[in-house]
Order: sequence, then structure tokens, then C-alpha cells
Amino acid sequence: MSSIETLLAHWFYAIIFVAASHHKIVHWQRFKASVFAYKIIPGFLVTFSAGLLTLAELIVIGALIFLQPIGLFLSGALLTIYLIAITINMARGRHFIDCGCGDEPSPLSPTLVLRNILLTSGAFGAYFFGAWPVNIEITGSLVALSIAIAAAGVYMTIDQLLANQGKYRRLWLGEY
Amino acid sequence: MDLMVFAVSSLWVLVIILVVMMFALARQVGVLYERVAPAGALMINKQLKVGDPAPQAVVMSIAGREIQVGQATDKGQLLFFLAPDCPICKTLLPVLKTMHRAERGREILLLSDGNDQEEHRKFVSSEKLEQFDYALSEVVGRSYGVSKLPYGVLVNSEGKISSLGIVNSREHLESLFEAERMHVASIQEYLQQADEGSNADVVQQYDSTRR
Repeated sequence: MSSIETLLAHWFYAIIFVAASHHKIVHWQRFKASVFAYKIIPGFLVTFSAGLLTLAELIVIGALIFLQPIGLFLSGALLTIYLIAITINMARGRHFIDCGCGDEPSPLSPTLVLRNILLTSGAFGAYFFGAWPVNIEITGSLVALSIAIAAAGVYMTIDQLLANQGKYRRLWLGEY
Repeated sequence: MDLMVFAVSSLWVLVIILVVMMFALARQVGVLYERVAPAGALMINKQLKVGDPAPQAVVMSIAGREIQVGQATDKGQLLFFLAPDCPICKTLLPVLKTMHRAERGREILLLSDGNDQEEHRKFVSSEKLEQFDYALSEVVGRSYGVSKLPYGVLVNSEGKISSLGIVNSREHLESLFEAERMHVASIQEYLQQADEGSNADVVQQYDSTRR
């Protein structure tokens, strides 16, 4: 991977984690309810685990902004945890729960699993094949930033469409 | 500024603006799904219909009180089926509390299933639901044909079902009472009748102009 691609990966993941942690902080009660609904962690540890996940996301954002390679590794690790939790609940047939991944409640779905697989492989791929230290001039940085913003925007739009699909099925079809 | 740099940077600005607009549109679609969603509770029940006698059962509440489900009472009963891990159920709890105050005399029973009474006790305490009778019974859920949560069933004073359906919002919950007041099975049925009625008027008008 070239420096510009490494930089792009850092900023892309930083933006999506900013959006994700923003929701966790603003809708704290709903996020705790989502963690509880996964039924993986005992009830008394829900608040602690939700806090830990939010803190981990903030640390990841810091590491990504300051171009620390560990930021990409931690992103991959966090996304793997989310992927495992989603897959376990999909296997249990509990697809109706809120995934807790965005501003709006979104049910679990195979598309969500695919999205997380792509994100996880992207983060680990960038960590293992990235070029550090990132040596890039200002023009290159601006290009990487623009692509990262556009890509994160597309990602967030897809996320919103998934949430819309869930809303449609819940409100219009009466599913879950 | 070099023409190429100008062109590329302007195009990037435009791309980002377009992406933001696309995101905003997707959000707007989500908002519209909510705003124009079916007005009433979704009546999806293969077992029961409005007017049927409510299946009766005697269950023990988690507080140890004996509850008569589906009984004929002075002002009727609202059976609200929920689960502690259902986020939509939680959003409706404040509405239930308001209804409990507004619909004085009408019993509101909260029904769930599962074996872990402790989990439900904690849920009752954390959501401050002590004012309601809360019971666990899978049999009651099955006898009322509840397949999705949250689900509401309104039983009238004669022990018959007034209205029932999946309730996803405050409007859905209120629609159960509205359907009962309007003597229709559901708000959907009322709207359908109204639609058919207005269509009939239009057809009649059309026919009269053709004559």
C-alpha cells in the first residue's frame, strides 16, 4: 500500500468511528439497551461493557487521527467483536434487535454482516499492508481527506438505507 | 491556479456536496416512512378477530398476585405483550403510564414470557412499572396469537376483543382505543371503509354525469 492509501484508510475509519461513537454518547440509554439485547454479556456488566466499548472507540479515533498503526489494528479488533456479536444473534434468530451501530435503530441482517466483514478486512488489510511512516505532501493529504469524506458519506448512506429498510419492515409490514 | 488543480478541487467539493445530499435524502426517506406509516396498530392475527370472546386465563403476577386475563370487568382490560429486550416496547412504557392515569378504571396488564423472573423483576424496577400487574405466561401469548412484540389487545367490559394488533408507536397504541370507540376492528379497516366509501361517491358522480 502507498502512503496515500494508508492515510486514506486512517481517515476513513476515523470518520466512521466518530459517527458511531457520537451515537453511543448521545443515545447512551438506547446503546445500553442494544448491548443488553445482544444477550452475550450478563446484565450487571452491561453498563460497564457499553462504557468500555465507547471508550475503546474514542481511543481508536485518537490513534487513527494521529496516524498510529495500532489505530487500524484496534479498529479491526473492535469490528471483529461487533461482527461476532451480530453473527451469534443472527444464528440465535434474534435478528429483530437493534444493532446499536448508528443514529437510528437498525435490525440485524445478512447485509449488516457483509458490511462488517468488508470493514473488518479493510482495517486489518490496511494495518498489515500499510506504509509507515506516512510521508505525503499537503496536496496528497487533501486528496486522501476528500476521498475519505466521500467514502464515509457513501458508507453512512448505505447504513441509513439499512435502517430505513428495518423501519419499513417494522412500521409497514409489522415484522419484528 | 493551475486549471487542472482548480477543476479537480471543484469536482471534489461537488462530490462531497452530492454525497451529503444523498445521505440527507436517505434520512428523509426514513423520516417519511415514520410520518406516513399506517395510522393504526397492524392487525396481524390468524387466531382471533374483533368480537371474539377473549381467551381467559388465571396467571400469577411476578409480585405474587392472582390476575384474571380476558375477564369481563367494568371498564375492560388492555393486555400489553412486551419483553425486557425489546427496545420499541421500552419506548412505549411512558405512554402506558400516561394511559394508566387517563383511562382510570381500565386494567392494564403487562404480559411477557420466559423463565427468568429475576430479569423481569429488575426490568419492572428499572422502568418503574410497579403500578401495573406484570405476569409471565407463554400460554397467554399463544392463546392470543401474539407473534410479534409489542402487541396490544383491548378487551371490553363484556370480555370480548375490541381491538388488537402490533403497536409500534404511541399512535398505534392510541388507535386501539380509537378503533374501540368507532366500533371498527382496526383503524386500517376504518380507513379502508372510508376509501371505499369515497370511491363509491366518485363512481356515483361519474355515472350521473354520463347519464
